[in-house]
Amino acid sequence: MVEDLTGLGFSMTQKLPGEAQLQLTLSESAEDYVWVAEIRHGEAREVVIVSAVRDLVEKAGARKASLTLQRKLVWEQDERILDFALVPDGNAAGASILVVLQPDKIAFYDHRAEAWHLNREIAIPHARPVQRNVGGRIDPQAGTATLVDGVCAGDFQRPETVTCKSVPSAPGADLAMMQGSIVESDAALASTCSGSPLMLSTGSGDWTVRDFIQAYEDKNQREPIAQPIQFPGPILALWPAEDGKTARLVSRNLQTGAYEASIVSVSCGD
Amino acid sequence: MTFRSKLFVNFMLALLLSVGLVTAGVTVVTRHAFDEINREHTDALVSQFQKEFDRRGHDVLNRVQGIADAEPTVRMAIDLSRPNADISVYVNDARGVAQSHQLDFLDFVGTDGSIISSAEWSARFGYKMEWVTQKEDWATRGSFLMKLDTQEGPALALMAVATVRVGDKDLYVVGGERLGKEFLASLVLPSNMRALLYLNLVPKFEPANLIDSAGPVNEAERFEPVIERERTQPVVQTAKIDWTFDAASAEIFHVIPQLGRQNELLGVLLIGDSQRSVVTLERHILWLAVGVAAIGILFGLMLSWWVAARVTRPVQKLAAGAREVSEGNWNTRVVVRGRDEVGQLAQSFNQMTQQLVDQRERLIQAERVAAWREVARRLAHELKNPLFPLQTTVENLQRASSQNPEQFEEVFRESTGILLSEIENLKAIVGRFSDFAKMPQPELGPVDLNTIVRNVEKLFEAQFSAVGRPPITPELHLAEGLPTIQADATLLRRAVENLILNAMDAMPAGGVLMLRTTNGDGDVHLEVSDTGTGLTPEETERIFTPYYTTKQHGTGLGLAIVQAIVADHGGRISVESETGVGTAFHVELPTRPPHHQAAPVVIEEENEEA
Amino acid sequence: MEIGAIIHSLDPAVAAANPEEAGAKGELDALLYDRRSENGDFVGTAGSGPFRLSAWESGKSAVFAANEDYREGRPFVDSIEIQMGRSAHDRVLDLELNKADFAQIPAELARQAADRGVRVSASRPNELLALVFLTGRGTTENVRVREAIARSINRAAIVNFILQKEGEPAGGLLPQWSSGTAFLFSTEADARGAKEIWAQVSPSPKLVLGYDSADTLEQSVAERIVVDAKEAGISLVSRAISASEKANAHGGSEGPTPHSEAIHADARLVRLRMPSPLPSVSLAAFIDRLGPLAGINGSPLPKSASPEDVYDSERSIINGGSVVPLVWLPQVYGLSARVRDWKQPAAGEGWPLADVWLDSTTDVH
Repeated sequence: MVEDLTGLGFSMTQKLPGEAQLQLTLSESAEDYVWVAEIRHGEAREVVIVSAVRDLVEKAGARKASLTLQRKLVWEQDERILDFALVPDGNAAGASILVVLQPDKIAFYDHRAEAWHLNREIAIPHARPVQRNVGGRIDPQAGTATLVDGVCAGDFQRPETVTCKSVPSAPGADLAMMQGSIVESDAALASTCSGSPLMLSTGSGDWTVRDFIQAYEDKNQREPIAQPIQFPGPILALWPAEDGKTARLVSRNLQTGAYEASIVSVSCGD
Repeated sequence: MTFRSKLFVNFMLALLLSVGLVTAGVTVVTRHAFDEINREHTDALVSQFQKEFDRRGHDVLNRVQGIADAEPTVRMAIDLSRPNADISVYVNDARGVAQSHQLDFLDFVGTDGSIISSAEWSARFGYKMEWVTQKEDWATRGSFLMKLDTQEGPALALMAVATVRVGDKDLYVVGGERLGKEFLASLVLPSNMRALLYLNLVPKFEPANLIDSAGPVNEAERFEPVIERERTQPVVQTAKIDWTFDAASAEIFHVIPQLGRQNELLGVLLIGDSQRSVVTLERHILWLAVGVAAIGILFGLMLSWWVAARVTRPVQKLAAGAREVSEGNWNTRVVVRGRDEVGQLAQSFNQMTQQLVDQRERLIQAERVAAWREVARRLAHELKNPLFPLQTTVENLQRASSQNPEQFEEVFRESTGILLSEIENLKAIVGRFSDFAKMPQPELGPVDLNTIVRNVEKLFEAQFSAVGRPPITPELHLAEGLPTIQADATLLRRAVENLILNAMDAMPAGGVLMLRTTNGDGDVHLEVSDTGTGLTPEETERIFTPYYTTKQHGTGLGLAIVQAIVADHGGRISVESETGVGTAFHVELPTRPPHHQAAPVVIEEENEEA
Repeated sequence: MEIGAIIHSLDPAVAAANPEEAGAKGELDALLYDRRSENGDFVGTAGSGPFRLSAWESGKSAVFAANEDYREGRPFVDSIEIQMGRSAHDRVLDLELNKADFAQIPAELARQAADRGVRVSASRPNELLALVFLTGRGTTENVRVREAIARSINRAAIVNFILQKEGEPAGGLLPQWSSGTAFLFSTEADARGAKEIWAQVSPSPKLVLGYDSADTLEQSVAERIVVDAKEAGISLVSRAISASEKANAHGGSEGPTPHSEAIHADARLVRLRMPSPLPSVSLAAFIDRLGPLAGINGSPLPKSASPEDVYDSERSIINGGSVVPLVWLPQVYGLSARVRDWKQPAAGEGWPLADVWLDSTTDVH
């Protein structure tokens, strides 16, 4: 706009005392574009409004098909959660196993009597002391859980087959895995509503503030297409789930201090 | 008042005095002891109360510190220590925490003094509580009193501050309990004590600010002087308030100023100690003492009466005996057992009466002898007169017979005439003596003296104005309602006649004869007075002696007869006379029968001891 | 399939006496009636809309059954079971426990509900909470008194703390998205200015600010305004207006227009919900509502009034000082995980419960 105004012969200057000042605001109402000029000269103030009718069809009625994000809390614990996954139970048809990756171990939980119960815990040996900001990720299909300097592998549907060992860390892996350096984390999901993929993205805060998840049609869109989901603390990890329709999310509750593992899903409509 | 009554009164006075002294002494000592005990008790309770108050302060401090040490608070502090921390999340936290910790006030205050969350006044978020951030080590401050601004106005609270430090940021936990009626109600006090609290929140004394566990105190204006004194000079003092005129309504208040952090007077605690139980107990003791004293006095009364009776009974007997003696019953004996002074007195009394009786007997004997001598003398004198002519006449006869036989017959006739005349004279003399000796014993019966006097006066009326003699004027002054006396009417009449005859004889030149009767104390008086020649003192002494007479004729027995009659009636006769003026005879006759028995009167002790 | 809805206070008598809550009844009526007329009255008979009333227990519960013959098509849900009289906290709890599919949530609880995992849908701010100086009160007809109180109010604190950032400070009668000129009305607090103005008021009156006894948000806001006023030296106390007092003010059967004389306060908080996204329509409705309360006599605005006219009318009312806008509130709804195709209703629109469906495959452990 500055370029356009300059092109029209206007020049930018600093505010000088005694002169009238014009503040121009481009706004819009429910129906119109509204341009507002505030003219201040000393204590006097004058407002001039010019409006232009906008296409009402744009605003009233037709709305973009919007989505609704939903969060389902799966697990929470006081110890740090790097990643988690829900896999079918290989020993019990129809049941699921919850796999929780922590910096020093990987744990497998069975679902019985409407609660998760620890089935098996395997310590993860580390070649060096555990980093403060260590990261990790589970790949349920591959049957691996990878840390900077450790890995667990096996059939996660049968926890008894999983083993863990330490591995030398790859250069740069720290940087990729360090949560603190990631400005935003996002996950691409396939939308069941519009057919086009959508991007889930977290806020831009750090460890210390509350975070949120927002959905965009693509990463460059500024306009969110759903109401954000607020979280009571920072989001530490966000991965798309294997089905592509949901995302795994690890956050920390600043009030309780607990680590929370959630599944975020998308539904059509608000 | 009788001796018994006097003794009894003296006993009672002594008893009352001693009981009264003892009772007063007991009361004073008891009161003093009660005061002392009460004072110690109250001091202990005040001290206990002060400790309770302090304990509450510690309790508040502990609770506030507990909140500060709790994990949610620490997390809050950590969260708020971060840059751009969102404090709005915690705006409602204080209320729940305050409720769970039973605090009336709880504020979470940030490092810059801004209120993050306020339990009591939640709308105050964001405003500053600058006093919290003043450089003060809250860890050592402990609990303190504070005046707070609340939605309902200023209030007094027992507060404490705890600090949660994260880095260079502080989170202040400011909590406390309201000092109000609920606080007072929660204090444990004995039943006779109560706690009042004056909330010094406004510049002027406000009666509604004086509260107890139920709310504003009635008649709070009574405390204004005490409170004003505290406001001028906060010191621990005591004050007494008498709610009514009854001393039991009094209440002693221990006044304890409650100061704030800057030693400003924020409240005045008054611990009231009702005097009712003490006063009631004192009264009970007093009434008990009075009751015991009354019982003691009653017992003493009865004992005193019995003792007095025992002590005075012999004296009474002695008195009765003396009365008997005074009434003429000299032969009175008083029987008193005991060898004490009273017994000795009784013995002496008995000896005295015995002596009196003996003396009277001797006197009577002597009088009898004297009387016989007098009678013999009189007889000799009377008889001598007629005997001499008799002798002379007989000698004349003898002479005549021997010397003049021719004149013997004439001399015989003359001499026999003289002999017969003198023999008649002798017979008359003997007859008078016989009359005097044959005076009968009186036969008593009810007699009206006035009637006798009137009748006798009538009898002599003709003689008072007889021809040939100067008149005698009778004057009757007879008392109305004169009681009847026990007497022999005939003898009494004779006595009156003799007295009138005597008076007539004393007024040869005429005069006034006065007859007066009066009522005496247990007797009646008869006065017969004349205006005759009067008597000399010597004559007065002998007037009642038989055969004594001042007249040229007469036997001299008239007044002796009167005296004998009066004496036989147990009365008394006396005479007053002045020569040239007249003479008055006074006769006193008892109204009750005279004692004629010579048997002794024995006054025994009543209710002889076994 | 059923959808349970939790709505507070649907007793007709209560709704009649509480025009702010009449909106709730209007919401349900909108499900029963086919359409509204221009003046907002429902057209047709009850049951001509997407739902029929199949059960009603006054003050307790109601059941709306799908109208098979609705001209725009049968609703997806078979019935709506409505529970009445649940408190806001209980409604949030029901949503948390999946005992309800839909509930209206007060704006100030939206953040807390979301923190607890409740699916929350918030509209654009379309309800104004304003402080109205009641007409006929000599104490508050002093312009300085109004100005002092208005300047002392800290709207940002109300939005950030009381509303937990669910809302916007309001300087004008219409939100920015509707009028486009809301930014021209200042929302800044000026405690110092308020103190200076109040110092010129003599004698200083003691004022009463009334709020709805059943509205916790109004109570919190009123208490905050009292605190702000106190900081400026203004003697202001808050007082709950009971339902009976409000009923008397509304004259019973004389309709929703309140008579301010029956309210024993100098000013009161008022909620004004926009009946339409169109600024002129909403402003006209506000003037109708505020007129008897604040003694405002505004000339009626046409529906097609220009933004300039709307602004002028709005500015005129604000400059009069009898209405002090405080905050804009969104309409917040809590939804269960199985509710699908929820569309946030626009201002003046009813709940789109006829358009939603329930996904029975969504299961929550």
